[in-house]
Parts: sequence; C-alpha cells; structure tokens
Amino acid sequence: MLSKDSTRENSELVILSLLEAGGPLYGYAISKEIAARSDQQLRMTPGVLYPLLRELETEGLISGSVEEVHSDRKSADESGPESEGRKRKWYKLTAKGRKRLAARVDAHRTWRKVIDLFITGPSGAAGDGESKEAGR
Amino acid sequence: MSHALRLVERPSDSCAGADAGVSSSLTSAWLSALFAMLRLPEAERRQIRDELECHLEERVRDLMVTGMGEEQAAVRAIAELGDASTLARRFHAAHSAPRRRSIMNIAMAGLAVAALITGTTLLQHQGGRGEGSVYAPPQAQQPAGAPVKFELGGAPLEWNEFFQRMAELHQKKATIYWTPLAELDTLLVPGGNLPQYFTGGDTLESCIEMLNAELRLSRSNRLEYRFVDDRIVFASTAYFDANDVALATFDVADLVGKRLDPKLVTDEAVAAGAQEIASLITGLVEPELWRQNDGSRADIRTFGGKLFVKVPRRVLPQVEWLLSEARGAGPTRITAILPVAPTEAVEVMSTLLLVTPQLLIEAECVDQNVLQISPYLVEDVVELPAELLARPSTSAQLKIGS
Repeated sequence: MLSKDSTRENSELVILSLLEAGGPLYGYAISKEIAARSDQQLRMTPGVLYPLLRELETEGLISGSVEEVHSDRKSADESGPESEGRKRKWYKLTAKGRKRLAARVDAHRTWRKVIDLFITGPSGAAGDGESKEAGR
Repeated sequence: MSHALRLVERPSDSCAGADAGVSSSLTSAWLSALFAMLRLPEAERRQIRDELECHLEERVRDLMVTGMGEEQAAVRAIAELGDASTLARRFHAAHSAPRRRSIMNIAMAGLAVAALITGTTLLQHQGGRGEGSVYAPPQAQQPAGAPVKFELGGAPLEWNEFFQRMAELHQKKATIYWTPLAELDTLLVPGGNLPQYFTGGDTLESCIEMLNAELRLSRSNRLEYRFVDDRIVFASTAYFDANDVALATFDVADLVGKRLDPKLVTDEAVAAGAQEIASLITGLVEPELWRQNDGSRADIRTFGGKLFVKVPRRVLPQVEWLLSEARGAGPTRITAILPVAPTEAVEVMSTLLLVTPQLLIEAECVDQNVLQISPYLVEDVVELPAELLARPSTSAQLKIGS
C-alpha cells in the first residue's frame, strides 16, 4: 500500500526499471536517460543520483563493475603510478533488485489507482478508477 | 520524444576524451575537496572519486559540444553536483543505508531550515568555536567577590534559616517569596527542612544548583535568586519571569525575502515566512513557556514581516541568537515557493515526484491517507515548471481515499 517514502521509492523504481530495460548503465548515462525518457520533465541531479546508486548497491539491488577507459590525453596533474585511465562504473540489476522492482511496480500501480480516484473529484466514480490515466 | 536509448549506447570515446585543461584543474580541486570530506573505507572513497571524475569529464565534454566554453562548462558541471560537503553527507548516509529519512524529517521545519540545522550542529559539535555563534545562557548571578562556602551542620536545616544564613554570609538581607516557592515543592515552606542529602556547597550558586537537583525541579521552574541592592531575593523562575518581562520586535521581512526567489516575494509569502519563523522560535526556545504551546510566560505574534515577542528578559538573548543565526546561515537557500492549492496538490506531486529525494522534505505521505505538501522547495530542486510557481499558497493536507 501507500508508503511514507514514496518519492525515494519512485526514484528507486525509475533507476531499477532503466537498468532492467537498458542493460548495464553508468551514472551519467542514467541521468541522461531519465531526462530523455521523460521528455526533459524529470531530472535527477547528480548530487542525488550518485549517493542513491551507492545506497542501492549497498542494499544489493544493483551491482557495479568498474571498466577502465584509457585516454590518450590524460590530465597532467593526475599523478600516481596506477592512474592509467578513467574508471567508469557500470551498474546492472541483481536478482534481489529484480524482485524489488516487481514489488515497486506493484505498489506504483496501486498508488496511481488511488490518486486517480482522488483526481476524479468528490462526485467522481470512486472505485472504478482502474483504467483512468494518471494526472499527467 | 525521440527515444533516449541511443544516448546510452556505450560510447567509444567514453569519458576519457575530454580536454585536460582548465576544466581538469577545476574539477580536480573540487574532487579533492570532496575526497577529503569522505569518511568511508579507502576503496569506497576511491571508487566514488573515480566515478564522479568520469561523470564530470563527460558532462564537461557534453556541455562544450553545446557551445559552452571549457571553464564555464566545468563550473556548470560542478554546480550540478552541488556543494561537496552536502554530497559527502549524502554518501555517508547512503553507506550506512537503510535511509536518511530522519534527516529529511528534521528538514520538514521548512523555512530557516538551514539556520536550524547549522545552529543545532554548532551547539552539538563545536561548543562555541569557529565562526558560528553559540548561545550560552548567562552564568554568574553572583556579584564579584570570594566564593562563600556553606556547610551544613549535623542537624536538619529549615529553609527559612538557610536563606537567612546565605544572605548573612554575603552581608545582605534576605527577601523570600514563599508563595511561588511553595508551588515548587510542598516542603519549600518556612518550617520545612532542606533535603537530607544536601550538605552544602562552595558558592551560593552551587548550593542552589544542588538543591534544585535534589528536589528534581525542572529548568523552566526552579529555585532561583537575584542580588538586588542590599538584598538577595529568593523565589522561583516563574516568579522572576513574570516580573521581568521584555517586549521586543524583530523585522524578519529581509530574512524571509532573502530566502525566496525575488519574483515570489509577496506580502502573503513574507507573512507566511514570518509565521514559520515564529514557530521555529516557539519550538526551540524553551517551548513550555509559550502561549502557543499552552504556556503562560511568553507570547509571540506576527504582523506582516514583523515579529512581536513578549518574553521573560532572560529568554530574549536566545530569541535574538536564533534570528541572527537564521540571518547568517545559508547553505540551503530557499529559492521557490510551490503553490499547493488542494486541487493541485496531487498533480504537483505526480509531476515532481521523481525530481529528487529532496522532495521528501516537501511532499510525503504522512500516513496511509494523508499526503502533506509543504510550500517550500530547496535549491536542489532545479528547473521547476514555471506554471507551478505562479501562485503563493500555504501548505495543504489532503485526504486520499476514504
């Protein structure tokens, strides 16, 4: 049913869905994908996205693997013997994440149904909101 | 909308292609600042740094493609990531999962949230050093002079005798208000005895402190004294509060206005902001005193952008301190008021739901039936649709379902 943490849960839902549909993605790609898919209406700022990815990873819902990307134009002030190139982190959905996604989708549908009931107004047909579109 | 999957094809040039010029030194400096603030296992810190470095490079490159200069692009990319200390805090919260809900809930206070958090942090962690000011209650009520040691003999001592002897030791006369004292404790009467475990103290102040502790009296109403001319007056906090009242007025319009987007500063917004500040004060400064909390010793009213405060004089410095902190503080500048007329709330919610978890502060399901939306959005919420910002309104509570 409706949860107190709906915003956080919806952010989670978006990220998990993207990873399920689009295969492994890295952070920046996820943020661009969110903006693009929502026709630029939704933005997840990187300052929010990366900590959230870290949290989902800590929870075991997604797993990350690092890919080294070699550069022919390395930054001069990037010191350290092992700084061969940039390290990009790709995320993919885990089995646990897939289960969580199913639960989130379920909860989201319930939520939308309830909101639809509300949007139809006091005289609206409560109870038959099943097929109505959400506010947007 | 042309579909975005194309955007996320594995790019062949990837994040390694950006110029290692001005942008690189800017982003490196920012990353170093963040790195220094991360209190996490080394491997994790490195991963975060690598990941964000990659992000910044790629973002800078993308912005440059749109025609932006390299330095400008770097500044913009860094700005999107936000304040390094805030980000570090989020990573810490993420690391210790299960949630950063409690932080969010604290922030429900809305306006002046920055002041509140800054102030609380200072009180808890800094103990007065650094740039922030910390309110400390006035200490010595005792005039200068050698401490007067008071020792109790073996026999029980009556209150009346105790007060008289204390005054004599200070070469003063005692004035005792028994009625307010009796309200503190039924034994605090002329013939009543001092608590049996009390044996004396090094100063009048320490004696009174110990007696208050023995009698388990609360901070808001306890045994107190004042030096007045050639006398020491003994009574209760409530008595002194009632007889030493200050009436003050504070103009907070600037404080409210400074936190709002200039085009949203309306009389209603300022009045609502002043009201928020008033509740901040009654919630934090000796809450039990305020009429707004069913107390009887302090009152606060707002009139437009002004606060009128009637409080015991001893409390005034706390109010002043809180307001000055609110004026000075500001990492979380409020930039917009989200109008939430009840009929619009759900639509607003569904539009903005995913923007950022910061919205947890502003809009969340309080329980299964109630969606509560507060009118303030913090700076992290970027690029709100203009039509949502048009009309000022107060917060709304909506019943959902039956």
